[in-house]
Amino acid sequence: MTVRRRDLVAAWLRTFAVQGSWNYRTLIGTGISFVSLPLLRRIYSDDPEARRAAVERSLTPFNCHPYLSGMAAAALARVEMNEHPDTVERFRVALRGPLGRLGDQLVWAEWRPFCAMVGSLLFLFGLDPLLSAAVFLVGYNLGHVWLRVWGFRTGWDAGLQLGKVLQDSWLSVVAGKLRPVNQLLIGLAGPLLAARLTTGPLGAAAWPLMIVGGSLALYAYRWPTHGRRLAGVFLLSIPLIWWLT
Amino acid sequence: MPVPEIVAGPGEWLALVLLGALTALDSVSWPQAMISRPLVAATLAGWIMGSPAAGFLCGAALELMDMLHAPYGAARYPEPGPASVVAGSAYAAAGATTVGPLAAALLLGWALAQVGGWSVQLQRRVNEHLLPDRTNLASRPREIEARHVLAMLVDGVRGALLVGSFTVPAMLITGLSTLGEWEPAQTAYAITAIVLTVAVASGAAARRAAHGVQGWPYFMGGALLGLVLLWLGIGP
Repeated sequence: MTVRRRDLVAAWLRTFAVQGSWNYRTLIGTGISFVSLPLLRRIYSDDPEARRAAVERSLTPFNCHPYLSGMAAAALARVEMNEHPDTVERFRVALRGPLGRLGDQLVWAEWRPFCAMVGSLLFLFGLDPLLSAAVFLVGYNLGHVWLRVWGFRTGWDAGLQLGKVLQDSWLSVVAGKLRPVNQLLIGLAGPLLAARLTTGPLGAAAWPLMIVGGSLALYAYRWPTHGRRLAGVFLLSIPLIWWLT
Repeated sequence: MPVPEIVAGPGEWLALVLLGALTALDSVSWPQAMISRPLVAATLAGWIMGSPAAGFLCGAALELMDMLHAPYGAARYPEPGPASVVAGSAYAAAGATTVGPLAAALLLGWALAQVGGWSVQLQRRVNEHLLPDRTNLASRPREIEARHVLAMLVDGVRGALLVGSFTVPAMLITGLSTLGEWEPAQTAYAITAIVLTVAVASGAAARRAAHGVQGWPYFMGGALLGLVLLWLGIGP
């Protein structure tokens, strides 16, 4: 049975909710099934038993980056149309790692920090706070929605050939280009934000404090886990010192 | 001693609770559009309380602190959305004028993000019980859809409960922090601690964004540029 455009649109819209039932047993397996259902219903509309078997396959454990879940669901549905069920199961297992890694590298590690730093810096240089938050939100989601559209289309077109497409993917190239830019923006935002947060009577102590801060920032860069703990210690020490003195 | 005026009625509380539900949903379940990021959640919460700038400032610091974590797979990570709503609204409600409420709001935001992370873990366990095994579900696709949506509703309720429970106590804490006497030395210490928190958070966040590549020259270049701009009086 031919899959209609409206089935593809329905499945794509469902990718926004793919993590709705995230759990430790199937991870986003149930979510992938939720996304795939409009396609599986159409593909197996005249064979209820085959549909039941396909839905059961779609409910097995799965994990990938949520924005690339549409790529996985679309490619799996395409493979369901043309290949043996054993191939579907092997393909499903093969997709998990690459789609998770690529999405994490591009979206969580680079695109989100980039947009957040641009929004923060605009505010620090005087833009209205609501506008700055809107710049972050709109800019981020232009990339987000585009990635979902591209991923779904690519998955549907490539099917079993998705591995080759991912090998030549631009995703890791973009992530690599954003990396130094993000380093620079986060470095720039640090002192500007600290100065804005602490407008007050530091006087002559401000510059020595900035030098100590810079040294600690480098320490946290080298040992990020220590840095995370230190941030908590500094915050917790404020009420403690206030109470003790 | 002047008592701080905190203007938060049932209308504001309800708006914050709804925002909390939305940020909890957005964080994982739907639609992951980053409304749940501190920059947005705290700004909106500050706006509800009449000071979006206070919300944004608080959110920017929490954003930097949360950038150390990424929602990778089954790992437990702090959940910043509802926590930022509570922190941003509490800081804005306290007037956002002195370092006391700022320190209290950042500490609350950081601590509640940990609580949020635990509640996400708990919900993931609950979801396991909401979903029967796949052989049972496979023949009933409508039930898959219904249970999936139910799990999302539970997620929204979780966020609403977090914000509903902690907003008023958080506002009281930030309000109280403006009442107590702050000696100059205590103020100086609080400022120092906040500056150092931002410093270590930015260092660790940059390392996270470096994703295994040594990018510290760029990071330090950015920090030096920031210091030069401050020295020249450009920026905040």
